[in-house]
Amino acid sequence: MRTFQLKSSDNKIFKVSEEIAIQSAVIKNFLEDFGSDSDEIVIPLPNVRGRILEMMIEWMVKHVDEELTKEEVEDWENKFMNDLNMEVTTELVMAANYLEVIGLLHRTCQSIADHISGKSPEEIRRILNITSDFTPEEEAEIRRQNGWVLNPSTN
Amino acid sequence: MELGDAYGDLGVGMTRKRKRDDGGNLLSNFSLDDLNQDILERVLSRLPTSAFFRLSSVCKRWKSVAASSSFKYACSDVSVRDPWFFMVDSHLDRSIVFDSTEKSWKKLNYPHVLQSRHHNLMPVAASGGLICFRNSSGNFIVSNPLTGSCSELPPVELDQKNQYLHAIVMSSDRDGCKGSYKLILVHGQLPKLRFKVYRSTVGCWDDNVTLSRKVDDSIEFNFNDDTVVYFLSRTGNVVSTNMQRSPSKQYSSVIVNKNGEDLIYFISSSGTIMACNLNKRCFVEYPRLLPVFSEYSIDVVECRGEMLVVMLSEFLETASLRVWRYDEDARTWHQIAALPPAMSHEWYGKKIDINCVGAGDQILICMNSNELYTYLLCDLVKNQWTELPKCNMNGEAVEFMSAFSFEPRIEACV
Repeated sequence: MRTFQLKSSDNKIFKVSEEIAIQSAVIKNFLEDFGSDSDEIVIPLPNVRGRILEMMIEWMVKHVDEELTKEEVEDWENKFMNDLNMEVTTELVMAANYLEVIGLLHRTCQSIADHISGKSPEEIRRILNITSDFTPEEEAEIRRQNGWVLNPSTN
Repeated sequence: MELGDAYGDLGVGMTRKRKRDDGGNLLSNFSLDDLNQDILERVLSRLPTSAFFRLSSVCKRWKSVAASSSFKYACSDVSVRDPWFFMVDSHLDRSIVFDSTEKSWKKLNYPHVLQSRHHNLMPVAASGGLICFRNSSGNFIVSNPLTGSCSELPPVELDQKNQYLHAIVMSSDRDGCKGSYKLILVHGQLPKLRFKVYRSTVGCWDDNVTLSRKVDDSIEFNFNDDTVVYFLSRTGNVVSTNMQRSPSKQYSSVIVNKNGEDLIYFISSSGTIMACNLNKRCFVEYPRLLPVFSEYSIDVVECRGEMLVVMLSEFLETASLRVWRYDEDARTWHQIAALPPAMSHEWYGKKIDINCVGAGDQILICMNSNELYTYLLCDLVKNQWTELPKCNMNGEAVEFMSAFSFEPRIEACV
């Protein structure tokens, strides 16, 4: 089994096997184009810092572990995501997008969506420090269009 | 007619860096607002649809997403959405849905076009993100209830009148960037059944195909059994004179795909289940669930790719509501769920009409009589039965006769 080195933006080096690394479509393509049998290959990843790369590798290692059942992997994924705050999750989304780790990209997007789905627009603006760029009239019109709930209090 | 048109693609491609504090390098200081448009769209596509619309008022960038074609593509990547139930009342002019994610009633924002141009539009089938309506001249209109976009299908020539139209079903396929759907009609006087298919990919109706009767020797076959009918049939006789309260459900029928074959099930006028295999071009009548003299109301639903029957029966001075599955090999019905007797007993003697629709693991059951009405949601996996809250509009409770389930998909094309 070939192994490679991944180098993060803060110059941390991680040794990974090919089996693990090729879950990233970008790394897979890189290896196909420049691959050799040497362990000396260092793949620089200037957009991912060490802490995030470490987590991605942790994710990828779990997803090639054949001893785990599908349920065990799901349980692990849930715990993995629950332990992250929004900032780290967001950074992980961008790294998964950059390296095209599709499973991680989907899971992290879902995690962010779950986090914001129950919140009001005002809360979202406050959390994300977004200033509404609608005029009051525009905003009222959108609210009117989306004023769907008939009797939200009954449950 | 798409939501969000007003703002076009303002904000697309904008990059907004609003890092809170350049000093905090040790910790991650990324925020959702740093996401590029592609990832923002991916995240928003994974929101429940109500939450997506609610959050479209956050800012212009978020609102613009609704009009983006790449957002719709990301939405089509979401394999399942919680069902919404499109409710049908006696006026057929309201557009109220029950959102099973938020467990609340919502009113859809229909464009005025759909309401004024098509009077007496009656919902007849639903699949994926689309609902099919039929107008008074018998033509079909397919609509995405979220966006209000709709298209009228070419007129269909049926050689008999509506009384011989047995089933109207729709199936949809999300493959490809736009997705596609089929509308299938089963018609003809028993035992001479035929079906006709409309395919959205070609935009026209195929020719009629004849279905041959497959005789099942083990079952007594009784077509044209016009003798006295003692039970509540779908089209209603004798016991409940009010069965036509829900006209849109007179074509109560479902389609399932089993081992690559399309199967349509509908309820015959004598209250039995008819199964049509479109690939083998044949049909068969299933044995009765209960003896003819048991008074009942019956409906057919599709859950998890399987046909199930929901039946309200009255026996030994109590009422019971049960869900049944048909075992093809043993040619028998098996009960798979039942409403707890304490809940069903109050329906005894009330001449209840039930109208049901399946969605994933759930069945929504609308129960109506002259005196009472309620809506039950049955979760087949947990065997849980929940009564939905009453729907109040302008301070008045609205009574619905039936429902169609659809997935709220902004990307579904008509």
